[in-house]
Amino acid sequence: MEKKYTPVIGLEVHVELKTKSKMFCQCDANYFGAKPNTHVCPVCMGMPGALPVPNKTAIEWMQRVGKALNCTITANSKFDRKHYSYPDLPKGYQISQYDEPFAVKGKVTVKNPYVKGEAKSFRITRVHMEEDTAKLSHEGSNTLVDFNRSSVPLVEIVTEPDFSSAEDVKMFLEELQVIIRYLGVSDADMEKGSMRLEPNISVMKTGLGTLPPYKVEVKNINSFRFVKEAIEYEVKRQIVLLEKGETPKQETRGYDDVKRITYSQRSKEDAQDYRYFPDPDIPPFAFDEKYRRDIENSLPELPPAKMERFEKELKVKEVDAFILTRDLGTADYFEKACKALKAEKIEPQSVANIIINKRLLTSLKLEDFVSKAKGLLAAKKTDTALLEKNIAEVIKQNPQVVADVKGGKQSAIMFLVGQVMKMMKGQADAKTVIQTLKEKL
Amino acid sequence: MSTKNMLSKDEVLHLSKLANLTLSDAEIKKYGSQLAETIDYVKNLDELKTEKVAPTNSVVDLSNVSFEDGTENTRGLSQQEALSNGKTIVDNSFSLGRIM
Amino acid sequence: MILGKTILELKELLNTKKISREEVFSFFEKRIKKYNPALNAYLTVQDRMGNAAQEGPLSGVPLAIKDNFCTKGVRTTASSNVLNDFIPPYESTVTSKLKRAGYELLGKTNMDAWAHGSSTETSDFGPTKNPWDTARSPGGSSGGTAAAVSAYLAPGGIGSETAGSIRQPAAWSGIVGLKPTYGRVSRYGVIAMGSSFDCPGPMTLSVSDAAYLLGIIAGNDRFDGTSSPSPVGEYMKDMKEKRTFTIGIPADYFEGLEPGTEKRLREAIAVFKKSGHKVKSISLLSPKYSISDYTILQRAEVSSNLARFDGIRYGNPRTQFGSEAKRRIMLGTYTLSYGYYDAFYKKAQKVRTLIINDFKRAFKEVDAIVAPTTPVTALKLGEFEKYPFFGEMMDVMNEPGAMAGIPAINLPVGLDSNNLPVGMQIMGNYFDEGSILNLAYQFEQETELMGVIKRGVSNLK
Repeated sequence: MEKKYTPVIGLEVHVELKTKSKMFCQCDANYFGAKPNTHVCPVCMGMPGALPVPNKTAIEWMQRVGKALNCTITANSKFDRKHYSYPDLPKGYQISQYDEPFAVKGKVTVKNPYVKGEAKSFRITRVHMEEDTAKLSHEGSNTLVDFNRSSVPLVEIVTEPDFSSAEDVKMFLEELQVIIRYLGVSDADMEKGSMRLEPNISVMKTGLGTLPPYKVEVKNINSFRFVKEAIEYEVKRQIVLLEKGETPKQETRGYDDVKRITYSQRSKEDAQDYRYFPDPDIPPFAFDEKYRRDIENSLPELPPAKMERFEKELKVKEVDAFILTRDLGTADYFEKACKALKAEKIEPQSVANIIINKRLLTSLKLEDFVSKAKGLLAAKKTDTALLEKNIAEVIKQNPQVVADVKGGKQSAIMFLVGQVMKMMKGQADAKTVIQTLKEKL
Repeated sequence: MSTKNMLSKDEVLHLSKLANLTLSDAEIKKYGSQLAETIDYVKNLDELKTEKVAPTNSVVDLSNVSFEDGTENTRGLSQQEALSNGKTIVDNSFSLGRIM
Repeated sequence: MILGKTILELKELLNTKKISREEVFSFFEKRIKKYNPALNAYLTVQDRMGNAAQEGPLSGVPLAIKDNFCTKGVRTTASSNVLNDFIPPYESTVTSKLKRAGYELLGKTNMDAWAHGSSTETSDFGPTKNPWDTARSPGGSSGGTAAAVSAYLAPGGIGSETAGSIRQPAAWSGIVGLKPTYGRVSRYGVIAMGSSFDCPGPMTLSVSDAAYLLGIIAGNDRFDGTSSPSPVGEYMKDMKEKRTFTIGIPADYFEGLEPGTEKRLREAIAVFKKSGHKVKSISLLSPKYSISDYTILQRAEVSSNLARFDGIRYGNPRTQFGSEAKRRIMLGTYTLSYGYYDAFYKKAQKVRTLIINDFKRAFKEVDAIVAPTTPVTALKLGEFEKYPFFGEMMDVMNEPGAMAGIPAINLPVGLDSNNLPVGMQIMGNYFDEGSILNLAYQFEQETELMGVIKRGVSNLK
């Protein structure tokens, strides 16, 4: 069944920026934990007569996100009004972007050593700027509205339908999260709601070139934990319908993380007609070449480039380079530690081992890290007298294995190494152990 | 081609739903015909050639109007001010009947 | 001593201590109490002074403010039941500037609900009556301010115009009304009607007062992204240097005028010629296209701007919208909806470009354009609801300029055979309020314009 059908998945990802103020007013954008309706003004409450003025920094940050996803930053852009009625939308429209977003046509290539196969590329359709809605909470017989979150800057990233599995989506999202955190523009935390995923899912017969005539948008996936599960559930649900000869309905479905199912929220019949038009309150934007170049130049070295450099220049193993570059702080610390330990003739790969396997904290002061690292590596120096004594003992106790090794079964030697290491209580270098063992045999 | 009387009840209902307005049957009829009348009237713009004309979004010759990021309290409302015009306030929030 | 005094005259009396601030305020308070019940010019009246934020050039001068300007702590309704109990927690930029200049608020004036109309008859709180003839409309939408100033229930006031809402009621009520260039005066805190058109402006008893108030309320506002950073002129000073202008007269604007209106306009043009100005006829795009164009763009913006009124944070539910608002919301929703956008909204935006280019071309030839403000003088109340296009018809002379966003001023130029004031407008180039005020001031000096206004004031004794 799995092979008969191929999922076709495109994503809409929303990322809340952590600017100081909101998108269209100077209210404090950090609403987390604030008392309800205390980070508000006439603008973000949609009071009669209030007018929006865009936050320049938010636009710059959004353009950096666009550039980091290899998009083209557009020379001309504008804000549009997107209309729909819901109590969390104070103006009856959301200020968003329609046909002239700030960034278009990008691509993200993910090389994740934990995922089998080649590096994968996913096309980015567009990245645009908009504002967040107010927060609704449902308690007892009331739905309560708090406008602290209203108009916090929100970046929307739209991909092409380039994903064919939930794993791919998860891998992409993780990469996206890492990139955004590198830029320092958002926490991109799904659990806290600063990163939100809305996949558009459909399923086609494998090998069929055309896209399915419907798609289902899934909302309310509020945690990384549920990304795979929600998508897999929805794909299976659609396959069951297709098997019955039905075409799944085009609709919006919600994910229920208690029941672990998707459920219908809005059908095609109530499809929204957002009546976009250019917001007359906000003059258009134009960006010259220099500005756009500066945006590009402001980007830090991004994870794929850094990973490649760690591999090529520092000769770190791929998987370790991947792990070390998942977080900019860790990567920077690693490089500093390498520099400091170079004098001690300690290779970057050893530093990587200390961070990844020995879990020496990268929050330590660098000098403390250096001295502890030296200690850890020194402890590895093997007590040769003890080693020879233990090897003799192991050979004596395991005549059959010794015979196997001598008979040509090379892999059996690892059993002996394990036994020796056990007797050495780990205080021995594995390479030395193997070499000495071979000599003795 | 005349659009007169071409707005069906369903079309008017669809528009009223988008516009978040609840209309009576009499209103649906009235606006249906007035809409058609107006749509007919404004068709005279078709007499003007505009193929090569750029649309005007704004009559002011301004661009890139924005503010530098930073919080400011000039316009901030106190919680009391923010809630002062709400009809139903529960737990310092605007309350609706339960909608979900 | 106070009756009929202009703002500048009142200032002089206050400065020389011939009268006190309290005397002035109480004069208007009493006059409002006496005449407002018949006129319905004010919806909310202030019964005490203390509105000023600080001492300033307007200290002691009270003004009438249209009820679509948010005034902190003072009910603001836009003449709609939707907002009948709305007390704004913030102040509009225009009234903030007036407060800093020391003004006293007399009250909030009636208007067409949401500024949708040209008669004040769409107000949910009853129409305002024209002080010249209380069976007639004062015009609209800023009809309350117009009537208040005309009847001297205020020495001046503030209105707002989307397309004609300052000029047309000023014409019908026989006062001066100045619609500035779009972006010259901040829209922040003015309940939006057509966001790409809306302009606050002064409504006064003299050209000087209009220039004076404009100087106070104009200027760039960081809270309004569409307000212009171009420098504010020294209108009062520049106005008094007599300049000679080339004045354009667009033939299309003189078609279908009432004879009384046409006669007064021809007389006024003769005055310009006599004063040495060059008068030439020009051709502009027919105003009939502006009606269609304006209708499409304005309704679209209205449908969007009124979407916020859901009764949650303030005001009452959407069921409280009157029929004119609903009609406009429905049309705007239609023209913006999927499949119609290009045929209507986008087409209208392109025609708007043609209208703008048309004026730009004209202002290469002339310094100012003179035309009637309205084709007819004040109509009787009750003649309006019949015509879905009534407002547009009455504003046909005002819409092209509003579409383009250029400034214009209405001046009373005499009375027709019904003893009703006739209005003339002078339109100017972008941000050239200085020129139209200069020309208007010359006209005021050379004619009986003030005489008409004074007669208006004395209509109610």
